[in-house]
Amino acid sequence: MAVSSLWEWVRGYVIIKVTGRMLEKFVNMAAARRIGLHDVTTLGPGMMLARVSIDDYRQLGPILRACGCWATVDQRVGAPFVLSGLARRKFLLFGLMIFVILLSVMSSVLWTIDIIGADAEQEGMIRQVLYDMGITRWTPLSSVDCDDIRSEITKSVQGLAWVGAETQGTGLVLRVAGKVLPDAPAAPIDLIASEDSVIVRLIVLAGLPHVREGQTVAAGQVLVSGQEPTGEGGSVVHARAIVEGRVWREARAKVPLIVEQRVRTGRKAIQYRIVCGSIDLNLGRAGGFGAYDTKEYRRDLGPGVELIRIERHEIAVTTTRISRGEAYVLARASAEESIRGRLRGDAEILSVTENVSDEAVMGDAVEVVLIMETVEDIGIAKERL
Amino acid sequence: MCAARSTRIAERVSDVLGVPRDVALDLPRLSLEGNVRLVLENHKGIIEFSTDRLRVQTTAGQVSIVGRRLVLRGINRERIVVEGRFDNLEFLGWEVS
Repeated sequence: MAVSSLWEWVRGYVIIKVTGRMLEKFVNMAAARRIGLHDVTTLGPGMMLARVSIDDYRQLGPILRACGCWATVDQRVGAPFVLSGLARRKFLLFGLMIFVILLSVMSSVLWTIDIIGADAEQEGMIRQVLYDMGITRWTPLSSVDCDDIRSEITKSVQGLAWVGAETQGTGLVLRVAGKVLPDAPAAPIDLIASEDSVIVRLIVLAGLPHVREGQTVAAGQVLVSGQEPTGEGGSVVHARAIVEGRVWREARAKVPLIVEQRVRTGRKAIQYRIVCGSIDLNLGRAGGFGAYDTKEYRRDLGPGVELIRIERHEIAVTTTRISRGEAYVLARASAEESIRGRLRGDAEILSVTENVSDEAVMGDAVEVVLIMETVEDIGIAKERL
Repeated sequence: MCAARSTRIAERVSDVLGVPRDVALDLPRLSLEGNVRLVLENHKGIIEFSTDRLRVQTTAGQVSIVGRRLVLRGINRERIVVEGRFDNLEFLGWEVS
């Protein structure tokens, strides 16, 4: 709806039916007196429709009389007519008023209190705190202070790390996050060696040291025990220390010079077997391939009866000879991968020593023995049993 | 005869002075949008109006529109806005050459 049309609707207008012999004179006189006639259409000889505002309609009387015409209102459109229609329906107005008042009252009180992130016990405590603060269902929203609620709950309910409070419409939403406390061990925690190694650095933060720098330790040996060195008997603690050790790891890999490759030729033979108790019935051909691989699919046909589908794929076996250099590269990579798979993340590699087999000793393969020396944190926590 | 002579004089004066003719001669101004809408300014009243014919008096003569579903969208002392399907537009009894 255009702005002008909207304005006309707000002001209100009527659609009139004018009847008479001198309609053109009526239109001319209306125009001369600045009465706005719009959408003038003729319905036939001596009859026409026109749209005119309420104010202009009131001025039409003298013109109609002067032209010998008369007008009847065909349609009333606009806000004044709607309002006057409403004014006549007093009970509707009363209901509307009651509705607006009720809506206003009901939307100004607290309807729901949602608590998110709390366990049952914490939720009970939070609701009790809210009750003590006078915040329950039907409490006026104007008396709900989220900052107060947040600080009171944080202060009163133990075990909460964070509390958030906000009103959403007619609801109060509380989001809480509980504290996550580390598990306190019942027994002392010792630090033990993860690998056979030589200790190069030892800094004890808590606990009683049992080794010293330069000492060789075996995997599983206690490095620092969970006990305070001072006092009688010492109190139980969680042993903490920086223990770095020099660790040697060894891996060996052997790669033959002749490599066998098995490739499917594409030929296959399908055979069916029906097994029923002691009866074993073979259907189809076995293929007679020199080399093949087999797949079996089994299906139960009933009690004690089984159908087996056997697929045999022919394989061509070829052998390839690789050079000693290629074999060495493969063997070394394999050995190194084996060691790296066992390394800890913080390990610093100091040196790598390798030993390659001699051709005279091992003519058909290459064997690489790799020894990797690292420095790493070897202390791992272990609860004392 | 006298009116025609005064009109010719007015035309010459407007040409010499560069005054628009519709101002100098008090002519009606017509704005036509295709054959569906006409705005006519400086009119002297409606002579005849029906759904298929509209005749308007102007200072220079009559303007006649023949068409279908003609509607007077608005009318006041200065201008008339008419819409519909125009088939024919005629100038009846005009003295301006």
